[in-house]
Amino acid sequence: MKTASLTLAMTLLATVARAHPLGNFTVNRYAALRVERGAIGVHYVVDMAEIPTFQERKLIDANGDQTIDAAEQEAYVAGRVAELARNLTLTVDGAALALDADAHALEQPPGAGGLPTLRLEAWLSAPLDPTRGAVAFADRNFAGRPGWQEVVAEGSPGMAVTDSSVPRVDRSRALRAYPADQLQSPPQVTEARFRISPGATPAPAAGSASPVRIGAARFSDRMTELIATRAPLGPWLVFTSLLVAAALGALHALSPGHGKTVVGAYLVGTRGTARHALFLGLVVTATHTLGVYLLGILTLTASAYVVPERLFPWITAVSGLIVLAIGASLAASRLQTALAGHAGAHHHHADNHTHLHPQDHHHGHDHHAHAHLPPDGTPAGWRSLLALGVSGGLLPCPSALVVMLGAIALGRVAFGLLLIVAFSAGLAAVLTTVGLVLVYARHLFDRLPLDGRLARFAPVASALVISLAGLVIVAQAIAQMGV
Amino acid sequence: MTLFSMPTSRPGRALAATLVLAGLLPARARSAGPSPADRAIAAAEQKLAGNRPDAYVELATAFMRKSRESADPSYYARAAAALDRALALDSDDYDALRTRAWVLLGQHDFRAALAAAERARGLRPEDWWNYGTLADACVELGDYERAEVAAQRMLDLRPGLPAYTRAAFLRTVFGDRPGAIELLARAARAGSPRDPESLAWTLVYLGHEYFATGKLAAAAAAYTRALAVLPDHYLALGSLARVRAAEGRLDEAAALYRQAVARVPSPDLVSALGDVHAAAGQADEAEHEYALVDYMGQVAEATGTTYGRQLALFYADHDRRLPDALRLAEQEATMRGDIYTDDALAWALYKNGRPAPAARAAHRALRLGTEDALLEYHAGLIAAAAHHPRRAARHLRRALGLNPYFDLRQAPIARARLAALDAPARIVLGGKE
Repeated sequence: MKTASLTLAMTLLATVARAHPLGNFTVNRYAALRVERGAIGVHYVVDMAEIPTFQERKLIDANGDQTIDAAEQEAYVAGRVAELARNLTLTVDGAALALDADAHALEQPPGAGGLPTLRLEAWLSAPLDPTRGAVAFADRNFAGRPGWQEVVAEGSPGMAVTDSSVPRVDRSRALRAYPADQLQSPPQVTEARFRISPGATPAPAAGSASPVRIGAARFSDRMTELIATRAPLGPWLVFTSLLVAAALGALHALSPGHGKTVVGAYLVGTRGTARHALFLGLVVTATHTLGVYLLGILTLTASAYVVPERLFPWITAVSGLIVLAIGASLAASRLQTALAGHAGAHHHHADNHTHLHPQDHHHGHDHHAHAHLPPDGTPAGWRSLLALGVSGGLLPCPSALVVMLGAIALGRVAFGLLLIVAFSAGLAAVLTTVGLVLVYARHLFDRLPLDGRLARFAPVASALVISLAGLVIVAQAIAQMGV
Repeated sequence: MTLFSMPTSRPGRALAATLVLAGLLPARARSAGPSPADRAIAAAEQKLAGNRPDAYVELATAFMRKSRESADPSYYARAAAALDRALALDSDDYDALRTRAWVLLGQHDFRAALAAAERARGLRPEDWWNYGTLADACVELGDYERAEVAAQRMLDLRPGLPAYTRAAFLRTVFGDRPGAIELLARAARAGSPRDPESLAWTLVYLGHEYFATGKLAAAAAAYTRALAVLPDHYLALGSLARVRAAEGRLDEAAALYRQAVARVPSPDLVSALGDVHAAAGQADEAEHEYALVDYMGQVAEATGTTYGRQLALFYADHDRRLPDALRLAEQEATMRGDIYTDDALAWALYKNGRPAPAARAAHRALRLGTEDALLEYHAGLIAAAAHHPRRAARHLRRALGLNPYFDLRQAPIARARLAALDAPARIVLGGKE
C-alpha cells in the first residue's frame, strides 16, 4: 500500500482551488501537537467549506447588519477559538491540561464560484510539568460532521514523543493542500495517544534519552532561528550571524561532552606546548566543519533510506572508539615508563580530582599536574595529536547539522556552509583556550617541587582518563542506538 | 432508495443488536473510534499494495458506505476513481463492473447506471446484486414494472435486507403501505448490526411508513430505535424532529433539527427547521434558515452538483425564486422519470401559474395509486387552480385523511383551502333545505 500510495501522492499532489475538494458542507479539522520542555503546543485549524461558512457568518455578524466589520471579526475569532479550545481535551497520565490561545487568525479564501470559505487557525498551548507520561488528546468539535480530520504529534529537541497513535507529519499541510488523488481517503482521526520522555532529538525509533544534548538544544534552536528568518541578508546581519554562530560554537564546546576532557588530559599528560594546543584547535575546527559537511551530504543523499537521527550514534561510536584507542595506547606506554622508575622527576601536586564523568568536566583540569616526562618519554606526537583532534571534531554535533540543512532547505547553501565554519571556529577556540590554559598552568606547576611517586603515575592516570572518556562516548552511542 | 449491504453474519453482534433494540443494553453513545465505514476503508487500503482489482473494488465499496454514513457526496467521486483503477488493471473485472452501477446511482447518472447494471446482469444472471441496481435504476427512470420484476428476482435469489427494502418501496408506491410495513419489519430483523447504517436507514424508512398514515407514536418509536442503532443518525434525528413538530412540541423539534443540521446540512432539513421557527412565530430565525437553503442552491450551481428536486420543492413551497424552482424541476425531469419528480415538476408548474401542464404532471405523479398526502395535496391545489373544485376537495380530503400532519407548513393551508372549497357547497346545500 505504501509504495502505491506514495507514488500516487507524488504524481497527484496538488491543491484544488475551485470547489472545496472535500464536499461543500464539510468542516475540516486539524490538530498538530508539539511537545516541548515545559509545554505542549497545539496548532489547531478549522477549514469550513462554503455552506458551513455561510452558517458561521451569522455568528460573525453579531449586530446582524449583514456586513462584517473588523471589530465583529475580532470578537468572533476570540470567542470562537475559546469555544473550540474547550472541546479539545488534553491529558497527561489522566490529568487534564488547560489549553490557552496564544494567537489566532481568520481567513476567508474564495471557494466554489468565488463564494467564501473560512479558515480559522489557533495556536494553543498548555504548560507541562511532567517530563514523562502518557498523553491523550481528543478533538470533540463538530462531532459527526463530515470532513478531513487529521491529528499529528511530534516531539522537539529535548522532548521525545514515542508510541504515538498518530503520525509526525501531516498529509494536508495544515489543511492548505488536500491531496487531489481521490483514492487517498481523508483521515478521520480525532484522537491521539503517545508517550513523552526527555529525549535528545525527536527520533522516530524509540527515543532512548541520552542526557548529553539537553542543554545544547536551546542553542541550536536559536541558531536555526538565525537562518530561518526570511529577510534579505544585509552585510551587518551576515556579520552578526557569523559572530553569533561562533559564540554558539563556543558555548557548545563548553556544554558537556565535547572532547575537552580528552584534549586537556592529553595536553597535560604529554609534553604539550602552545603550538600543540593551537594545532589541536585547528584540526578540531577543520574536522568539525568537514564532518558536518560530510554528514550533511550523507544525510541529504541517504535520507531516503536512513533517518538522520540514526546516523549520529554510529558516528559517535566511531569517534569514541578512536579516543579509547588513543587513551589505551598512551596508558600502556606510560605505564611501562612509570614502572621503569625514573629519577630526576619533580614532584607534583596530587591529582585528587580525577573526574569520572566527562559531563562534569567544565573546569577542574587545572588541578592536574605532573612530572616532566622523562627525556625518552613520548612527547606530544603530532600524529596522535592529529588523531585526537579528528576524533574531537568528529563528535557529531546535530545542532550544527540542523543549521546547515536548514540553510540548504531555505536555499541559502553558501550562507549555511559559512555559518558552520564560524560555529566550528568558535568551538575550536574554546578547546584551544582550554589547552593553552593547561599548558601554561603546567609550566607553573613545573616550578613547584613535588614529590615522587604520584608524579610518575600522573601521566598514566591522565591516559586512563582519556580511555574512560572514550568508553563513555561509546556507551552513550550504544544507548542512543537503543540497543 | 439505493440501499445495499454486503452479506454479513455475526451471531454475537446480532445478539447484541437485539438486546440494544429490546432496550436491555444501552447503545454505545457517541463512540469516538472509527465508524464501520472508516474501518472498511482502512482495511481496503491495507490491501492496495498488491495492486489487484479486487482491492480497489473493496475500497470503492467502503467509500460508498462512507458516503451513506456521512451523507457526504464527495465520496462518490472517490468510489468512482477506485473503480476506474480496478478497471484499468482489468477491464473485465466483474466485481468492478457490478459495483459501477451502484456508484453511478449515487452520482444520479441513472441511465448509465441502468446500462451498467444490465451489462453486469448479462455477465452473471444469477447474481442477486445486479437486480438491486437494476431495480433502483428502473425506479428512478420511472419504469416501475421492470423494477418490480427485478426486485422480485432479487427476493427469490436472496431474501434479505436489500431485497426487502426494495420490495417495500415498490409496495409503497403501488399503494400498499401495510404490505410495505410488513416487509420493512422483516428487513429490520434481517439487518446486521455490523452495518448499522443500513439497519438505521431501514428503521427510519419504517418510521416514514407510520408517519405517512398519521401514526405519530409508532413513527417516533421506529426513529428512536434507529437512533439506538446509530446514535445521532441525521436522518433519524430529522425524522423524529418532524414527529415532534407534528405533535406541536416545536422547541423539541427545533433542537432535534439543529442536531441533524449540525451533522448534515441538507436543504430539506434546514428548510424544515425554518418551518418550525415560522410555526413558532419566529420569522427572523425562519428567514435565516431559508436564506441558508438559498445559499446552498447557489453553491450547488457553482459546483455543478445539484439537489435539484429538494431545492425545487423548497422554492415552490416557500414562494421564493419560483422561476428557479421550475428550471430545476424541469432539469430534474430530464434525468429522472419517477413519480416524485413528476410531483415536484407539477408543484413548480403550479406555483409558476401554469395549471394545465401542472395537472398533467400531477396526474402522472399519481398514476400508480400511491397513497401519499403530499401528492394528493399538490394535486388538490392544482385542480382548484384548473377550476375543478370538486376534484380539488376530494384530493385535499384524501391528503388530510391519509395524514393530517403531512407537512408543518402545508397542512394548515390544505385545511384552509378545503374549508373554503367546502363552504360554498354547504351554502348551496343549506339553500336547498
